Amino acid sequence: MSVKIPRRHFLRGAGAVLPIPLLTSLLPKGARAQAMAPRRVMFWLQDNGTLRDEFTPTGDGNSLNLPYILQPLEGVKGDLTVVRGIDNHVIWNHQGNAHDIGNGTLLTGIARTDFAAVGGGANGGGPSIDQYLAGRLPTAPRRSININLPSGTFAVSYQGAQQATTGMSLNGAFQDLFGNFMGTTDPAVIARRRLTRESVIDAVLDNFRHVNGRVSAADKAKLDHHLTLLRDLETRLALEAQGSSCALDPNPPTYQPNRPNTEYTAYLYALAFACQLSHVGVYMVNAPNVDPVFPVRFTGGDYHQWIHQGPDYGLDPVRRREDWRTSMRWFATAFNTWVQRFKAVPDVSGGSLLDNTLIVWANVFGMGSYHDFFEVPVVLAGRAGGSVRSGRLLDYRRARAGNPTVFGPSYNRQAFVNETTNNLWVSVSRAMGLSDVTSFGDASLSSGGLPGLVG
Amino acid sequence: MHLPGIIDPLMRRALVTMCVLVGCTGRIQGSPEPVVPDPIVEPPETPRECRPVPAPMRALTPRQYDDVVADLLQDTSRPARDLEAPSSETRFDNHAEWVSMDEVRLRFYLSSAEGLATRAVTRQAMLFPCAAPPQAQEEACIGQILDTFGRRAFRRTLNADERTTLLGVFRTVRALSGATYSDALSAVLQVVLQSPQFLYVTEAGVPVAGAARPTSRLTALEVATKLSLYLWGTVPDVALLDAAEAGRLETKADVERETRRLLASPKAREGYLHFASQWLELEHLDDVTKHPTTFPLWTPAVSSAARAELEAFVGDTYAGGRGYGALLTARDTTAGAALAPLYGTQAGATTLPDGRAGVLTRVAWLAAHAHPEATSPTLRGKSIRTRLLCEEVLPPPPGVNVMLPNVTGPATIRQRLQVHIEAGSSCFSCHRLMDPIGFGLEGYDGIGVARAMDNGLPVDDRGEIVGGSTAGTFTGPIELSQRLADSPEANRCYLTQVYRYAQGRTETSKDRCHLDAAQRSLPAGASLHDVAVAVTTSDAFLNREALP
Repeated sequence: MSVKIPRRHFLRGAGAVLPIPLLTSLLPKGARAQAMAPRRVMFWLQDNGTLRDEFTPTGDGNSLNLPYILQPLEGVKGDLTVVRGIDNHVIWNHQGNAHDIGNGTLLTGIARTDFAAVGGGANGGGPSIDQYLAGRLPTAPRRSININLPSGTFAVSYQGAQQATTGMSLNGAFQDLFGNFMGTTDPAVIARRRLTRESVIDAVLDNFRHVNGRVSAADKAKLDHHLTLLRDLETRLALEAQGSSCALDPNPPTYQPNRPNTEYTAYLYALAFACQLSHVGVYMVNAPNVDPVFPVRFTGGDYHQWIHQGPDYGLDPVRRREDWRTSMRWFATAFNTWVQRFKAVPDVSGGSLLDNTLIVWANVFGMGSYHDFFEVPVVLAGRAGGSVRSGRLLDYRRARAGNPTVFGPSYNRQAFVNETTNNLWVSVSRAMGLSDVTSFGDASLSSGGLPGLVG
Repeated sequence: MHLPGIIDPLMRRALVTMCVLVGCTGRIQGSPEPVVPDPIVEPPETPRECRPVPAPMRALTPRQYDDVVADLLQDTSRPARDLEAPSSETRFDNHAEWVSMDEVRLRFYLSSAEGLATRAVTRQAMLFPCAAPPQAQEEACIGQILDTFGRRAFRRTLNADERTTLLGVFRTVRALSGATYSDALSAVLQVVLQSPQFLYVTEAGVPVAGAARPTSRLTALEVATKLSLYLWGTVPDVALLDAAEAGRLETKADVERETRRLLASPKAREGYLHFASQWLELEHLDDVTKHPTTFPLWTPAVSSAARAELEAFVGDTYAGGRGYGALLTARDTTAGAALAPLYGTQAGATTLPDGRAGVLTRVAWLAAHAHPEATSPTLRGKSIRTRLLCEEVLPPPPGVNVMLPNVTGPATIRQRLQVHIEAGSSCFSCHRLMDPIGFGLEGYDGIGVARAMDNGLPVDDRGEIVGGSTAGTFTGPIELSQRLADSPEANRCYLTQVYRYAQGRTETSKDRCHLDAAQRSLPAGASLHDVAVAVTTSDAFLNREALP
């Protein structure tokens, strides 16, 4: 008979320095029978663009030479797949602020709901790839782990059109995910609290039937959505109560105010994935409208304005360009911390967590100063259960007439010649084992995925 | 959302501005005539029956949630303070379109209810009419709690089905091994706090016989909740629920009486600040960091003192029964020692120094609408354009070069922005609607300190409002503020903003007739309270288009 340990009852101070999978004999029977690790996907998002001409690696389908900005990743080069030549086609002729439309389309691959009709807000036009995958991958206690998400018009993650997902706060996420909510180890108390929770949710579900008076069809749909989510939550809470499968580092990295928190977030996500709390995550490294807390050298008090000014601005353009390179390189340093962490964590199948994960580092813009959508930087880390062969540069650029980086008037259909974000998300879905996916978001921008990325 | 063929005023203004934006991208070269937004104010139409308007479901906002649980459970932990509360230029945080649920929110409601209930049962003697009853009285006690706490939480007496469900959960949990009365009471409270009856505001109304178009009148209880959430930001008190259930909230006179009763309460001041801090975009202050070298006077303490001063002024103006003009022209202040160096006053001054009057000249508003290192005539002009004149200015299209030319020598902000507003510039058609208004406030720096020089050159604070009935040139903030205070367009915009907030949605073409009627009902020299009454007694507030 297997021992069941409530999900929230993590083994503390078990002598491990990293989260480790519990012995399979302690896992519930179902989990033991299935010795394969699930595939996980992580969207690691950078906002405000990069310094494009120093981001671009050289190499081919078998090799990779990292440029200055990516050099901090030299040690994990073999775990990377750099994808060059992705444009966000969705935004062409799309009205609105570049941040709104960039954030609202990056993960959805579909035009936002018309600004004038709805007056702003989280106007994403359909589900984002993270939520789509969360619905397709095996059910886990958490649908997805989304942290530090920008909100309102800057929202990136959507359950459906205009339905942004709420992010957990950077500060509160750890406690929320791993805190010992039961507040006790007494099995009788834990059992009673769990049963109480079940009764409470059942009664709330009941009360949905008693809402007084009629509502419009649109409002009924909102109430039904709430009801569906509540039933779904009930299922996930039951899963969560079934059993734990990992141990907590006795001294985990903790949240530090006004710091980048790279170690903390890398640890948190690696632990959550290793524990199979969820298979999907989104983390926004820097918000578009907030001055960065990472050790960036930028002059003036307004990072966003500084980005707009570009790498050759001001009275000392040499110094300015050097500051740009340093700032953009910081992201590679942080990404390296993540990759290293995922590599060091063992997975239930025996390999590392990175073997079964695909971490997608994507950027809302291409060139920061232009806030444009051409050649958006994409770096993948991990092998997604063997479906992605890493250590490669995949170049999807196509010949383009004229300079794509000029302003305004170049935003015509013809300027977008490269591969689409839609095909990128199709390929990411296929890397997760969903071989039936041939289209994502705007179907007219999907053609079955990026050739050669998966398989 | 919009019926085909119907273009409401908001939409029309947006379309006009979009045409302007085409000019911004340079596709229309040398646009012949300046394109300006439609004037909002037109002569009020002859009174006629207005079409009924929709009343979509709203949700308690995070702030309302916190205020309600503070009210009902005397729990001031503000559990929802970190929950996202979206707002935009045309939508307040209570907008029906914001209603959106996801797993993180549900988990919040779940864990928040567990926390609130766990704390509440430890204080049950204080909170509820009965506590720790003998076993035979337990269910009777729960019944009493549902009649009091439950009634206020659901804003009506619970129906039989709801009572059955709640008593059911009490019995189930009470029967668990080792469970106490308090455990079971806690479960009941948790259910109430997660029920749709608590979290959502629905208004079905009852059909009005003989109406020209299918119309429903909100029930008295629905009116009570709408009134209370608008004016107080929390659920109705017992007196309001009693009035509604006893048939004393039926006529417009009843509604006016209750509106004025609620306005007289200290809670109304808080409720107003909930509206006004969004309307005046004071939340920006939370995000703004000022560059410490440029603005050494700016500290977190100054920032909160500035916000407190502006909120005190706005709250006092409202509570004191003054009118819209006073918001823009009155000089009362409670600025304490923290703001004295910025205002150049003695600590304890009760009047603003010369050159300052009303909201637009106060440190909080000026600092919130400025860059970290410098002023922003664009941000200041845009806020006045959108918030005080209710016109839409769409953001620049993607890919547009928003960079000002590189600095080549000393220049004032105004000089650097000239490129925005030179005829023929791609920025001209949009920025002329904003920057020239903001130029009038250049006599204050990025944290609202008065200045005569900018970057070593004398400040020029002549400004202009382009388009609309408030159009014209002016010099300096006092003239600008006075012009806005006297402007029918700005007064109408204030009414519109209040209406958006009270209704929890943005107006469409159908609402215009109601807004006209509300405007006509205002007495000369109307107070801010009169504006509130004009809205709550309007047919748009009390009726809705009938559900099919």
